[in-house]
Amino acid sequence: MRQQSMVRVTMILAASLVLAVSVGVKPASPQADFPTRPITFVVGFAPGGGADVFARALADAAKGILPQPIAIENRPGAGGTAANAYVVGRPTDGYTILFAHAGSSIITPLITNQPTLKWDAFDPVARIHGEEEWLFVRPDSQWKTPEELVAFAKANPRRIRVAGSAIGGIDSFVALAWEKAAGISLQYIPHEGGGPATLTFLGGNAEMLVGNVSEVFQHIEAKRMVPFVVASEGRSAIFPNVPTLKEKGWDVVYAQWRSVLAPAGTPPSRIATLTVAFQKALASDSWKRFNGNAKAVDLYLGPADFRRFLVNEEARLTRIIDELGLRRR
Amino acid sequence: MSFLENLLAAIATAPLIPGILVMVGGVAWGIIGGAIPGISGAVAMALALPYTFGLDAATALVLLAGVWAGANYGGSIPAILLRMPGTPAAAAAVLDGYELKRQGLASKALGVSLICGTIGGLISIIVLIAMVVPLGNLLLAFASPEIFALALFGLTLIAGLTERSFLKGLASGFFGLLLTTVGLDTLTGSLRFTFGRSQFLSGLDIISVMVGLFAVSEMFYQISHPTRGAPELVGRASTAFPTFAELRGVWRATVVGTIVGIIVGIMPGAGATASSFVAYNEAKRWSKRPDLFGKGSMEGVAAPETANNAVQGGDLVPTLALGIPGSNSAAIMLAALILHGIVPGPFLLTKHTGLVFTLFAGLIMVNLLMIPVGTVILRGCLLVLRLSPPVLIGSILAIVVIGTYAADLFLLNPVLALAFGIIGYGMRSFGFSAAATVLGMVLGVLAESELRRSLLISYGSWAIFVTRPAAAVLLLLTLGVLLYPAVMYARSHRRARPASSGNTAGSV
Repeated sequence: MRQQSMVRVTMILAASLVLAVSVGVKPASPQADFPTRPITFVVGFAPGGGADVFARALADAAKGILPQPIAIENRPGAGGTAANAYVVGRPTDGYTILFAHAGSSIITPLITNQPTLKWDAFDPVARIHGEEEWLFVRPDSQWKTPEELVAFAKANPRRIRVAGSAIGGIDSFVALAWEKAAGISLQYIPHEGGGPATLTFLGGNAEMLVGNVSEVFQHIEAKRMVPFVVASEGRSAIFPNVPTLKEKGWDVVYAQWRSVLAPAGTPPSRIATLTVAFQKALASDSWKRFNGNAKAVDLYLGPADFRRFLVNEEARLTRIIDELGLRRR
Repeated sequence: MSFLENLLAAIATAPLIPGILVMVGGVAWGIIGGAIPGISGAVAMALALPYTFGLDAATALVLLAGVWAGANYGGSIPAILLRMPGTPAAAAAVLDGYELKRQGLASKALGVSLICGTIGGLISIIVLIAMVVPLGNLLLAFASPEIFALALFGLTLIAGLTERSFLKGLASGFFGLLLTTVGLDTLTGSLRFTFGRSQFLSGLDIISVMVGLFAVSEMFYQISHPTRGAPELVGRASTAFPTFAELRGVWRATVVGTIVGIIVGIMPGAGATASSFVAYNEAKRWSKRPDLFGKGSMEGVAAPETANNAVQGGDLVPTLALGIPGSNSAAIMLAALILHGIVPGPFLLTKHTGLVFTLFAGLIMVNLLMIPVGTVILRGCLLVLRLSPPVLIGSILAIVVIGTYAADLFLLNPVLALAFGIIGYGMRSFGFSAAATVLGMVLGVLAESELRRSLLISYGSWAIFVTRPAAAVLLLLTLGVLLYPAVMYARSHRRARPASSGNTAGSV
């Protein structure tokens, strides 16, 4: 096992060396002038975090598609915006790209009033994938359908406790948007992350949990919780029997999406090279296996579509941030 | 006993020579990383993580376990030698460790830290192996109210840190609590004291503040008091390790540290730093010589250092039983699993039994390797004591600036360290306690967020702290600890001057 992987590493090293040399020797073809050196993929969170793990898997899947490797650089801090600031200041040559999500590229810049670090300081390369936002209840829950729960919540405001991650994160927006749409009020209990929220829920200190399936899949298998309703556009492939909030008449659609951005002003041809490479990487077996293990869904969008998506996403996140009163004035 | 068979099989099938090399490398990097301020255990592990990709899952886990164990110990080396905690968890080791160093007993303190820490780590791993499933279910009984009660219990140490003026100690502690309020409030999403700067978003970097209050202020003090400072700094550097008799003298503190470390480790959210302060406090209470604490007590080094190593086993309980990391370090272990295509969760133990047992075997071996690897590195570190004061002070300030900058590449952090050096110097000159401030900061984060979360869980009712048995017991203990000295004081004043040194066991 180890020998195999050592051989693989050696072969990859040798292959990239050969490629590196051959790229330098070959007559210039359209693809060969970029990239000619490794690309730096900046992650705004520490190694080992959710964003980091996916960035590494993505860089790994892109190996062999681009003639040069993609190297991860972690720049944690300031809710991911430290990395934004770093990438904005880098040359716009396509050799520095950023792994971004809604929190780091829209929500935190809005809340902290840093418009220069928002997504529009960058050029979209591709939206990559995402995780659906679910609401879970215990198997012995007194509510069998979302309608029953809403009826109870209307009669008993603030009685249903929902554990989730910090206020200002997507989890909290799902809960809030559902409250607004259904005219109910829930008792939202924020945590530092999905793990602690799951513990509060498993310990019986909350009736519901909001979050991603990836963190709790085995708890669902172990019958400690059941998926109740999902905040996606259509039914999820993971649990197709579970209804969406939207089909029940509440327009609550949120997902944790992750994407690749380049500093604004990067040549479109280089962005196109990167977009194609990531698109191919998403079709690779290694990425599909990884993404499937993590219960994530493909959300690929090319630069133009992704830009349109970002404009809409910013508008609707701005509304909810203002409703929560999170913005600095 | 299939459990034992699995473990033996894991040890027997482990590729011995490369396995041990990987572990030695991991432990050595952990100790060195832990010793550098700014590189905590989790950061040292994160830095090693990319190098584990070429390895198989088992080797990767064992390597990371080695880094983890090493960093738990490494932080105490500069804490004892230079009053500069390398990791937040080593802050409690400063209290008596640096006093011992001033008495020329640095090598003894470092030896106690290494040996007792290893014992704590080993016992916690054995407890983990034997009881991971029942403990995993038990930990669900711990939620916000219990963690708040634990934080409050730990905060009572403020009373013990300041002998001269209780009021000044309390003020120092509250200053620490105040410092924790900086940053993005996760419970409301609002910004507090960030002055419009995004660097303050995640709060004040705790290691920069600690290093400033402890190490930088000490350097300033030595610069301004050169005649008194110089001989202290050079020390009568003995390199003798603790004798067997000396180790036997700290057994009580080691037991206390191990128990506290395991329990606090299992509690979600509370970590190595909280455990070391709680263990220090408890060891003082159970000690036969509580008067020595703060003045160079071997027990005062043994207890926190045992506890922060014993946290490792406790942290892994939620990690392995539920797939929820018990700490940042445990989160890196989970990331390594995920990167190797293994989905963590409650079925990890049954679906990947072989891997888990390899990890158990690795954890035991890694903790055993701590002693030889630690001894070699320690010998090298002791050479620091031979440096002349100007060279040493200059180097330490340089290390502080580089170390605090390197962690996040924020210029703010070295500035914080230097600013808190000045604040620490002022506090010391006016009789305030820097240690109480650090304690307030460490436990303040826990206390505030868990208190507010408890009240959300209880719909605003304070009764939650008495209706939940574990929380109620911890709060009763806290009350007892706070009232006990007052009661004793009143009694001793009613009697006609009893022997003031007859301070019998202050247990609760």
